[in-house]
Amino acid sequence: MGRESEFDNILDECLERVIKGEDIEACLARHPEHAAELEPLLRTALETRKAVAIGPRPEFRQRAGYEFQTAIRDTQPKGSRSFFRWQVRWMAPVALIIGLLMVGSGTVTAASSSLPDEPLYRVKLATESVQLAFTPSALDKAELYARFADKRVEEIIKMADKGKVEQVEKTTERMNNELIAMANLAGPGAGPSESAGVATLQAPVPATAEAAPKAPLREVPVPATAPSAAPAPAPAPAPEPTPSVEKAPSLMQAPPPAVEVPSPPEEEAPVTTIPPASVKGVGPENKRVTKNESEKSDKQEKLRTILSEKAAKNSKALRDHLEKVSEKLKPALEQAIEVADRGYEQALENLH
Amino acid sequence: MQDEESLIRRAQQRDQVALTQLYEENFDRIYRYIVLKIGDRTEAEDMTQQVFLNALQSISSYKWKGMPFASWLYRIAHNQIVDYLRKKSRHVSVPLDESISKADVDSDPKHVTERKMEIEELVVATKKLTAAQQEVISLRFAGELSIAEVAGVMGKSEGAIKALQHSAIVALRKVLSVEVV
Repeated sequence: MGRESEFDNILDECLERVIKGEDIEACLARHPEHAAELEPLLRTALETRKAVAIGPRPEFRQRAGYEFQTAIRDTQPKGSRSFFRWQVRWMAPVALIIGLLMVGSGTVTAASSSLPDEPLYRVKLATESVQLAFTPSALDKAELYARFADKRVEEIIKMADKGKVEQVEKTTERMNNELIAMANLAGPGAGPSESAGVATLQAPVPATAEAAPKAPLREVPVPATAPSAAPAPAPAPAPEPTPSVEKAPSLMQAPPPAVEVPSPPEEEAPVTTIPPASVKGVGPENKRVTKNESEKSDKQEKLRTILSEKAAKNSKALRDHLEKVSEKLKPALEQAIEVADRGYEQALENLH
Repeated sequence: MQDEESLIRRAQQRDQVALTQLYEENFDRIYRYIVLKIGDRTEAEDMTQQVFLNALQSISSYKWKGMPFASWLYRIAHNQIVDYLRKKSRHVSVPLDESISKADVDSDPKHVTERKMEIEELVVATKKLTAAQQEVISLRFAGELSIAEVAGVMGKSEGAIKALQHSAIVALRKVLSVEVV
């Protein structure tokens, strides 16, 4: 083996180790004869890896995920949808949900307790995506995100126990995305009905603009073409497909407006919109609207209570753990605490 | 690998969870790979989505050969990138590297590797590498593939990829050092 190829092997071996979290110094100590040559290369490689650790915009991710799910459905064998098309269309996801949540295959059940460093973790995330996809109401979706954030906190703590900094950071990022999505779903326009959920996604919630700069993790890239100032939230959906949910890590969510609501006229607001009293009297329709508003208010109150409890519980769990972890893990865990505090704070603000 | 093979088999039968899993496992890294290649995040988003829609259309014809599924996705992405760059070369546009201010960059060469490098800077730097070096950097660091997997995608031996990786990092470091002087 030539000297060059020997060095190539050593460089690659060190790179693999450094990528997995080992200190550069440990690698250099293992190969003192090459340390001078190795060090700058490893540092450059590590910086390269960090620089490229970016992700797409949350709103794009959500829209792309929805469109991918639509494409999956569109490519299903035609025969299965020809008879009682609508019924079958809804029965399939319902059966899937029942299969996943109630009965549960061995894999899915095993995956539910899997951790970010385990192979089944992807199944866990996919299952969560399916749950989100078939939760029509915005507030129910927000509650689901809150449950997922609980899981992320547990995972962060367990990864911290294992000393896995990178997994703590990745899981924190995932939690950040979920909390931002939850905060937006809990914002103005969120309601118990499916249409309300869609409206929430359509309405350019101001919280989005606020949440992005607050997000302490990696940047949420905003292209030059993206609207810098979000229009004021209105009951009528905006015609442009720019969903307001800042970050939705999962694939399947309520559909983006361009797909679900093909540019309705402004008057065709979601059913939760209350018409002005001066225009219409108290008729059956108004009673229904009032009832919907009341249900929405109850749900928001319930969600507020749940989130307050979760915020306190998760913050305490993370803070308690901060004292137990090594110095190396502290920055990652502090980041997680900051993300959790801001995420819950934003969601609770939006619910007021 | 066995797990991925069965996952792909289920995906080929339009199993929604399997398809979703493959999508989630690969979406970010395909996106990063494309960003690093074209330097335009918004365009990279659309192209990433198209990669998965194309993959969905063609997955039934996918043949398992022991290589990770991601290798196939990278090939689809690569073809789209080539197509995109060919079309782009016909139009006048402001390249991403011109948007980077030198004033934003640390001027002390000693700090090249100590300070935080941004993606835009990396995109500019990688453009100075050879096509093969760029590909190795993109697949290895953005795509998070192992040496063996990169070798599979690029049709080269592992030894050749390790050598390319070495020369690519050396070249990258050199470019970054020159750029900040």
